[in-house]
Amino acid sequence: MEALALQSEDSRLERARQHGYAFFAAFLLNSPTLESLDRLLGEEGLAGLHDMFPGDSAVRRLGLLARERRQGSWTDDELLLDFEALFRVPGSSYLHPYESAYVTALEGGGKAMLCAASTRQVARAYASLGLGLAEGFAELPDHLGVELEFMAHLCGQAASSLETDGVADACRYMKLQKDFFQEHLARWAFDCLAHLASKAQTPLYRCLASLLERFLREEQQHLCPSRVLGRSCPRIQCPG
Amino acid sequence: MRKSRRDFIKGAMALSGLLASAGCLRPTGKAAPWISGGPEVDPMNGAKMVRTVCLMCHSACGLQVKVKDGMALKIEGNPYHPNVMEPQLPYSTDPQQADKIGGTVCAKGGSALQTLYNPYRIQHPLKRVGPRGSGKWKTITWEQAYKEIIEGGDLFGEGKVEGLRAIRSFEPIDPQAPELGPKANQLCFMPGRIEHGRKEFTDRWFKDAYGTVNKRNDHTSICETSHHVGLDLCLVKKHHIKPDIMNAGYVIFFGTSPYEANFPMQALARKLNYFRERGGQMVIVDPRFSHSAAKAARWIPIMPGTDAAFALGMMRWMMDQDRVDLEYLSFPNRKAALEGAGHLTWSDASFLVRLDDRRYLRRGKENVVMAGGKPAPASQVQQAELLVEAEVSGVRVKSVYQLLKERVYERTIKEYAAICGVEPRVIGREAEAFTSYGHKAVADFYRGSVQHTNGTYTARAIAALNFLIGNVSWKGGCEAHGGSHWHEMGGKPGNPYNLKKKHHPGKVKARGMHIERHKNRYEDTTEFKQKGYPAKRPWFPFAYNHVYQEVIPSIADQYPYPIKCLISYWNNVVYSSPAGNHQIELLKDTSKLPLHVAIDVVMGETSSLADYILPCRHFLEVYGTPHVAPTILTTTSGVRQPVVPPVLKDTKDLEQIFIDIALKMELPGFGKDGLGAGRDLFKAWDWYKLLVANIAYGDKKGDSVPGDTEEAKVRYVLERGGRFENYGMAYKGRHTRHAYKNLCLFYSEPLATTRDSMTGQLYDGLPRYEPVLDCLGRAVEMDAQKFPFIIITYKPVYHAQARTAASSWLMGITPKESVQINAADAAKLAIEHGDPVRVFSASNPRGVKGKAWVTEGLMPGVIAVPHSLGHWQYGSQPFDLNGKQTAAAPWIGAGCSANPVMLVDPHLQDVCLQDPIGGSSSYYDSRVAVEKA
Repeated sequence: MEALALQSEDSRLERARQHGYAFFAAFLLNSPTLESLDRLLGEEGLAGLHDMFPGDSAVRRLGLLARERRQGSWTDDELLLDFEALFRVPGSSYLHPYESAYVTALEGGGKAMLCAASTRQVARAYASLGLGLAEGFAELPDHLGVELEFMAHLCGQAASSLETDGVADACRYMKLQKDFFQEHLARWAFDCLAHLASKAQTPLYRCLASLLERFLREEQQHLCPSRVLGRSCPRIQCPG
Repeated sequence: MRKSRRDFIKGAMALSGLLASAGCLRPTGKAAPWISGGPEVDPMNGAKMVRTVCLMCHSACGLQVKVKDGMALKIEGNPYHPNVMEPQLPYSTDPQQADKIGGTVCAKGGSALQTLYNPYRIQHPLKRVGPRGSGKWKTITWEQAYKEIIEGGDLFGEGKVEGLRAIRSFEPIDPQAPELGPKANQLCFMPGRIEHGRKEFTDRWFKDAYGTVNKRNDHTSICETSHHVGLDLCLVKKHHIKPDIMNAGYVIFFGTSPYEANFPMQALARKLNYFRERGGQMVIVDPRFSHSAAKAARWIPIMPGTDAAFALGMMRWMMDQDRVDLEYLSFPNRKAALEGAGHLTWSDASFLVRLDDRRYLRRGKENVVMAGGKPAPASQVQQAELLVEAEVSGVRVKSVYQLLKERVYERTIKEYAAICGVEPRVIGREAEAFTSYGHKAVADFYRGSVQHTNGTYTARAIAALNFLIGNVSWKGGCEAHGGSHWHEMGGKPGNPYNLKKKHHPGKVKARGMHIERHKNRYEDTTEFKQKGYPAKRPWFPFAYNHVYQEVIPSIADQYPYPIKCLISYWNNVVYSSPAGNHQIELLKDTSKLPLHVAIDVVMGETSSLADYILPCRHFLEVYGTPHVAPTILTTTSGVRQPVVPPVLKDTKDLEQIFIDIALKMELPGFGKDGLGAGRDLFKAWDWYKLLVANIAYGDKKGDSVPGDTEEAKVRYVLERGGRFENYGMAYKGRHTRHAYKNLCLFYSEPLATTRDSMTGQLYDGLPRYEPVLDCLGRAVEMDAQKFPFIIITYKPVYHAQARTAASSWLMGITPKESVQINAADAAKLAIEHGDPVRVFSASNPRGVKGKAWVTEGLMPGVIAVPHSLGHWQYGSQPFDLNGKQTAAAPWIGAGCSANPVMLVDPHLQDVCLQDPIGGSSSYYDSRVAVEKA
């Protein structure tokens, strides 16, 4: 009974983590629309963020932005232009939101490259689970949003496994989460988010950068060192 | 650590479904194994690195190709080569160390693999079996091809055709007009792109062995030849300028997009990134919002063909505001300029010009200037007067600067701005910026400014901007020389082989007029003496680079004499030239052109109109010694060499084809002792090993690369893909090291004293703006109501010339929409992005069809269509070979080309509008209409 209860709680947590990753992936990959902004800055969205990040000043700032948007201080076009400048149009605000750009810059003394080894590595990781980039999707596999989406997938798979009593499968997906996080996101996502926070021209993307940074820090804590998942899966403990 | 798991779960679940999923990952249906932390599989393990030079465009970037089991697997930039790395590797670096370092390569260079392994390459010699241009061919042997091309006969059942042996006669073509030269001139060679090493080789064959003056009518007039000719009339024996970007503070680019095209594009783009990072101001003058414009401090969209007006407007502001370097202009000689202000150049601004015959006033051979109110030899004066209007020994004279100022003041800034379609303040703002950086500001230009009927004058106007601030040869200024190259043809003290003057036993002397009359004066002909002006077709005495688009129409017109055999090589004149489609029927006419032999890699649009096609090799399979642009300030001699064995065994390199023919015809300078006693010429390497040896030994005594023997020195160069001066040698003090050190000419005496062969009018010796004119000097009537758009072309960064369409990678990233139109214009015509549209003109009412690309990034009233698309051959269509249809790839023919709708000259009717001075074909002067198709 105790194990089942733990399993159930863990499956809920995996599902919640899946939604957390998916939420941030969507914001990094999709340009803001009237509908998405209404939802995020509406009562339900802000409440959800408040619960996820209690006491976080960025959530309060988003609440303020919601009011400013209603008053016309910020237009949706300004938010859209900020997204385009940060993620789409190479210019002074452009983030180069790709793992290979950050990792090669670190390794190459500042000279960044796209489509380097890390791009191929993440593509192979996706392929190992029978996943590939959707047809018509024009971004590279190591875009921050895609890597978050992959983590969402791993969390979702772990949750599903736990929900169907597939503990061994869940352990495998959790191990993949940890490996993927350590080998990829942990190496560059924080630097990229620091750039996002400093280059964003609107509070929307500054706040999202801050919240995602906190989310990933908490994930880092969560994944390594990880808590013991019940008695049946001791292997997912981090060594040491 | 999360404070509350429950709250986290609650919040995250609340967010679920709040936003649409990113949806970027989808199941593929099959899983591929991956081991976390596992090493990457390296398919290149064991590959050998071969260094060569690219030819996907003309930038001549160094490549290093990974080759394994005889297959080229991957292409990178050669890190020794300055086009692809900043700074490039020191030349002494061990090649094995260099193997670990990759320079940059652009999308075009990387996709050379696909043009090498292009399945639509021609594999065997072909002979037509139907009417010329019918698309019916049969495979023949090389021996049959050689025999028939050399000996002629009734080759197609259409009557007797003279072969190369019969055409090679040294009897005059027309005894009544001996200036035309011997009958050997009736063989014409017309390559498309041909580069150094190969240029000189084919010159040796056609000019010095066969004896025809029609040795190399190559493509430059459809590229940017008026840029070269215009500069050649501004500088002494130099014809290319580039900014020293790494030290400049301000660069204004007219008619070029250095982040996408120009050359070397990679080096320009890389240097401009450094330039912009340190706050450099880049300004782009272009009707199209190019990728360069996107990165510029300012984009100035102006009407096509009005760049000279913009430059003259800037000059007007500079003169009004006293922002001209008058001190520099006042130095009339080398010594004065150097001692006076440290300049390596000086100008003709103070030289006096006679108003009676438009020549410089001279005493003996010396130019005369005015100093202290008295005329004096230029060499004797420290600073001369600039604004002079006087009478000297009964001859009225003006100084060049006086003439220039009068020219500039013919219009107000407002009038210049109205011509360009910009606000007057835009001209003033750029003139102010341009004159705010001392010698570290540059006005550069390329194809877009000069492929107009007014191209040469425009080139001279933009060049003059640089002279007015005295920036030539200064660090950060206008570079007119660049690092140049070691002289592969020899003739310098260090070179072991003087291939220019020696090593050609039995050499013959070609003489006579060129078929397209470049560098020839009409006034020297019997025709002129009999008929006077106008000539039947234009003559181009200043176009030293050939007049490509004029060759086929001249052959069809049999003017100034008939051609009996055309050998084309990698030539696609009917596709690449403006209105080139009008030349298709001319090429089909066997009565005007009895024999057409095409040497080509694929079934090109022009080679499809040949009698024979001889399949040649790809640039990754051959030798060459291409040069680089003055963007590169250090001496650079890239060496092209085969990186893999021939992919198609029945193809030959160009040199081998001509060696084979020469041996069969017993032409002098080939075969046993062909390069002089003990030096045979049986294969391409026999030639190139001497060229590479000259590079290895260097121009000066003691300038050799390491190596005890010639063979070792040659190997040293080949291992590195050429010879490259070290990066640190670019500058010397305040100047570039290999600087131009000569006159800068505002006034061109040769131009001012030469008459146009059609109008009989003298050309203008000064920078000038003029509108679109036909060959008779008449304003071209273009109905702006019926044809409201001016059509322009451009090169996207992932395409270059005709050949890039054969790469599926490049075509895969090419947008399907190829007809760019301003959004407001599109709205008026109810055209939406992606709509099929028809573009047509007075010269081509049927027009071309493409998809609309609706954009704000284009000047209203202008249509832009990229190069490289819209092939109707090149592997996009099947042809009949040995009675069967070949395979084809329709994607090669995707998109559309602007060339077919460009205007023909209203008088000549068979060729596009042309610059009468530079010989450039006009790409940007045609009016068209657009409608939904």
